[in-house]
Amino acid sequence: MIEVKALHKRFNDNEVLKGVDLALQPGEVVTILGPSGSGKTTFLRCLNFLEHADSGAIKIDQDWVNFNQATSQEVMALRRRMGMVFQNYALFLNKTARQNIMEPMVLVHKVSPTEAYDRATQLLQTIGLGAFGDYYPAQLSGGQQQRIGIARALAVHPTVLLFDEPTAALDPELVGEVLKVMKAVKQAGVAMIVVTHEMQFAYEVSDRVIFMADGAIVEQGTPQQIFESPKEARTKAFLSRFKVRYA
Amino acid sequence: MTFDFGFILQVVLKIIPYVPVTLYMAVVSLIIGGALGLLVALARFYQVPGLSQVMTVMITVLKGVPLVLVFLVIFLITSQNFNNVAKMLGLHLQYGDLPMSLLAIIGLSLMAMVGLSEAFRGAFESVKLVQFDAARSLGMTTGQTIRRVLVPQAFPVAFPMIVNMLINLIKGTAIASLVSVVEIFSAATQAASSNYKYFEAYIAAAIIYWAMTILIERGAHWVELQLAKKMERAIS
Repeated sequence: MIEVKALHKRFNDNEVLKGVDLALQPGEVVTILGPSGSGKTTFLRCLNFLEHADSGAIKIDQDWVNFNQATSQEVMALRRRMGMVFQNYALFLNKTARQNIMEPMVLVHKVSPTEAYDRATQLLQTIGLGAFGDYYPAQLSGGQQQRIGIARALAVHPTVLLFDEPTAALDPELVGEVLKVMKAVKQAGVAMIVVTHEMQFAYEVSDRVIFMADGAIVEQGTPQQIFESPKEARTKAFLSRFKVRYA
Repeated sequence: MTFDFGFILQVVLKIIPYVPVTLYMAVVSLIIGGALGLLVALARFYQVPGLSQVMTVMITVLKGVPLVLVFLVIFLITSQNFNNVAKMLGLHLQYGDLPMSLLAIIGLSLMAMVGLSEAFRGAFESVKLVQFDAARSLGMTTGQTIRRVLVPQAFPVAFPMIVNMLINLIKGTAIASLVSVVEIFSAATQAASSNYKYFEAYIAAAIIYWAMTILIERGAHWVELQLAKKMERAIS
């Protein structure tokens, strides 16, 4: 169970998030859509404490933690239950694919190196990169790197995975392989919050779609509700530009 | 003036035994200066309150003066105060008991610290911000991030400057001849003191410095290739 309430964030005079509330059931997949600058990415980064939110609270499995009063222990404990997948993959460039997946298991979750090695190898098989364990990120394509990024986040059995435009930096022909892995993550029962412009994915895979604009949630509902009969004018205007792609 | 090739060879053979002394002073200074430089660079990179400012001032002061000046100041301070301080601490040590190479190592370590702290800081800046985001999002501590991500990624960037520093330190050891440490340069000078063939002696010293520098650069080039391999895109 993941809950966020009244998340506020401002950069100087610019109020980026104007009190965002969100609650996810275990294993639920929520897609956040919205125009650039609507605060989607900032919202994810605040959840992970990569940005310092001004106020609000978060709860994952355990007690509520206030964003502006969290101790570093609380932050660490929350991060251990979250995984984050970045737009630019953010694999450790000095480590091989397998070492990237092993790193958080061994360092943060104190899994034994042999156990971590086996789980990394198994995850590499799952994402179709069984033969690439000893490759460095620079030797892999963007799609391959992003699949490893997902495996790295997934390796430590998080309650929720946060995806920050995971396919935005990819060549179109590489998007499919990443989306396939994301569908597999859903099958595994891990909750996901996905910021994306992949309407097909939002429509097919998510349990709920949220439309955000100007730092607030404008509308949310099932994919069918949002894509087929949006209520708000802003949602309609935004989706009309994508009509061709999901129809 | 006749040029005595034979004497050059003689001096070269005579000063080769002092290569280890020179290398010892240079390498120890590189290690000490490197460790201190790393701490200074980290304090400045993470903007540790107070410490960061103190380090910046210290580096600015040391960077602005010639090595020989630093060296003589260290010599003056230590030669005048060491005996008193040692007595106060109850140590039965006289200034004369200390190996003079220690003074050279202190001076050269400071020089290495200044140069390498700047090299490391530049190398730290080259590490992409998203690498730190990734480390934080995975729940890694700052210490883990420094050891596992920052330093390993900055090292290949700083490596050519570290090698450069080693070469500068080797040349800098000649300054130790000022306080009567017998190393390559002073050994060459001494060899010429009987027949005044200083020109040949200096050429001989230069040959040794050249040889060391060339060997180090060859070795460094090989290491650089190894470091670059993993960062390069595979050809296939």
